[in-house]
Amino acid sequence: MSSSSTTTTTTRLLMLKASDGVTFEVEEAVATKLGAINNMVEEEGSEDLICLPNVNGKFLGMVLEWCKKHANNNTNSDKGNDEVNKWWDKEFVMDLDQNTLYHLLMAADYLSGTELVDLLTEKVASMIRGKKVEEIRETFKIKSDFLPGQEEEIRKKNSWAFE
Amino acid sequence: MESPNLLNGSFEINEWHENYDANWYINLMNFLLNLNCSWNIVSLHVLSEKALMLPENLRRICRSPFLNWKHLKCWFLFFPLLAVDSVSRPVAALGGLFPITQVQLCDSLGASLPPSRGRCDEPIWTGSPLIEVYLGSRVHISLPSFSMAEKKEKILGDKNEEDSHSNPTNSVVERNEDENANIAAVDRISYLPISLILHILLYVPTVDVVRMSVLSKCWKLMWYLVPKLQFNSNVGFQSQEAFNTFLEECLLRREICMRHITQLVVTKFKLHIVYSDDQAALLDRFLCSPLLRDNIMELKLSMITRGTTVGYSLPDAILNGRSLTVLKLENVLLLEEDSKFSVNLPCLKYLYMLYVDYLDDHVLTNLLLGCPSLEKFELKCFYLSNPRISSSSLKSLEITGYARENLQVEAINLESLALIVLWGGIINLSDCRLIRNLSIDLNSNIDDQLLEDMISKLPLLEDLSLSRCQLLKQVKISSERLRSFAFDKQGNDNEVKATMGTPNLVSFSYKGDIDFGITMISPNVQLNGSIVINGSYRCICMLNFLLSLNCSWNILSLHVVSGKVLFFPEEVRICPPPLAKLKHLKVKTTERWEYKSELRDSLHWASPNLETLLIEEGTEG
Repeated sequence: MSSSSTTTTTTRLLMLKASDGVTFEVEEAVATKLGAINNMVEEEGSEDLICLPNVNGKFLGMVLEWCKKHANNNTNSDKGNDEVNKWWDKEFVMDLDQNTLYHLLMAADYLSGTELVDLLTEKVASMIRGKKVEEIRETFKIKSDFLPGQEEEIRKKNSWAFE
Repeated sequence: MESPNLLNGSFEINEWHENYDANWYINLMNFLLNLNCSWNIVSLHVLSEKALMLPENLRRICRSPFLNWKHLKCWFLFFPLLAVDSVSRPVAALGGLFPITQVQLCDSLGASLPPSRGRCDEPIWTGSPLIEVYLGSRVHISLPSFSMAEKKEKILGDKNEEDSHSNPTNSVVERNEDENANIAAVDRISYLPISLILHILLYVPTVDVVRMSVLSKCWKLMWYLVPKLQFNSNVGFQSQEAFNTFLEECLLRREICMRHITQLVVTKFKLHIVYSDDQAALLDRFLCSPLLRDNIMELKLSMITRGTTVGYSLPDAILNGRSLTVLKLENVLLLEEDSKFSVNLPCLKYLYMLYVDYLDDHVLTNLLLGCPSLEKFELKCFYLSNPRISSSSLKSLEITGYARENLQVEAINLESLALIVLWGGIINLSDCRLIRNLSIDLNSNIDDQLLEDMISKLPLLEDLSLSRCQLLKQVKISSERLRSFAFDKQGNDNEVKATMGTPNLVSFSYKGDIDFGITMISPNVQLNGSIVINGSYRCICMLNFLLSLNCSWNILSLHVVSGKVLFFPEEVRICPPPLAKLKHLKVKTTERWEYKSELRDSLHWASPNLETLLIEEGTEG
């Protein structure tokens, strides 16, 4: 499952090892889009294998796919490329199921991929905005743990928010 | 409780006070002393550690309520926004009560950060329980699902001794089972770390966040933690009154909350409303509230006014906001009529103003004097006579509007300047020698000479865009560093010739009719270009146009109405091919034209060195 990348003499390759042992070979410029990896590279210097015990290979792969896209386009910062990136991002989050979204968000947060966290949290927010409470409950499968009557009490207390 | 068994218990005390007073602590003490059972593990959930900070005099006169307690877990819901290093605060507060064994910083799943031992003074009560302190944790994770008592407290009855984790009704166990169940039916969002939940809620209007409080215990108080408030009177409210009430209640509640937990302030505020004058007092109260006043970093006010509405004038507190970094105003009055204008925004970096009234030359000058850190300034739809924009910090300036006489920009660090719809006066850019990006749109004053002079004074210019400048005819541009040049000829009926002494030009884009020509003086410049031709022309005219583009292309994107205008019949192919060195051509058409192979053939004649040709046809026709 390791990704193939074109090697040139100037770009350094890093090995990233996920919790399930899957490894990815990525260019340094791609991996350092992630703040956590950037820090490790700067601190440890020559270490080429980085173990990431908190991230599963499947989600690490997706995070790196995002990094690759955004690292490539960073070099020639064009207005046109910005547009392309936005479309790509939209597609990237379009059909994510909640399980994937959750794990991806946790992975991005753990790896300090700030822009990716922004993208994913905005995606989750778009599933909340303007929805009725019951729709939100249904979308995210949030179970009420209130005692009988408690929800009504809060609703009554906060009636100013429901008009 | 007449039971020989040790109980595990959980108490949730969700009351808060602005200041927990002596009465509170006496009542709390009575409550604790009245729990006459033998406790094993007790979880105590309170909003803030202050609720448990029993004053020393009380501690000295009462016996310890914790004598028969073995383990106490304290959960402070309102702790997540605090920095990790402020852990010492609740630890010190509780340390006066009993010896603390460990402090656990939790996220939603209960254990992400390593535990640290709390240091504290000699405890007053001996025989106290071992205590763990949980900060920023979720109340609901270890809450029981049933209740024994009728007040605020609930007791998790556990008939087994010692080991609460073996109890099947314990909700920690329940949650684990959930995870093994059908993946699609699992509540994921509630178990995200609180920092991520708050990140998500930054993008959600406040009304939705407040309404989410009825979802579950975890969400009940969440909206108090979001540092951003955003209101839109058009979405989600039945009436203007309902919206006003909502605004008022939000303010009231957050204010009370903030008085109790000073960290829960608002740093970002966004308001979009259909404004009526009777809302002024409420908005003033909001913007001047301690909740915002000294903490606000990003403020956006956007108003729609109708009919005879006077409009909302910004309170002094905002114009003197010490922490403000971003200020965006739409249709807001900068000051009350005839009032004294004083501005002090030491941290302001970005200022955006659209339709801002009572802005005259004098006010503008004062405004800029009061913003010593301003880096980006967008001023839209203004009407000024002789404006002078003077700032040494400014890096990016965009102005749209009207200057009756002259516009003077004095900004030694300015890198990017966009001037749009500047009828009227003369532009003076003296001192702005660091400009890299210059964009001029809809200008009726700039002629060939003025443009040449202007550009000669901008040695670092890299991007130049000229749009709808009706006086231009012979455009001469000499610029060592210029990399990209865009010309939009709309509104200009002259025949325009551009002469480019720009050895580093890489990109050129053009939009307009075919009365245009460009000549590169600098040799060996290979251009990537984009050309958009509006209108239909005879192919011979089009050929002339292409021949008048005296540059060598690398990649060219050509957008025309129909492929027909690019079909050059055999009899005109006696002239040299117009795009001799072009390697990659992309043709876009608005209309469809059926003779595709003829078009291809024609394009290959026009550009004999072509390596790739892409034709994208529109759907019309």
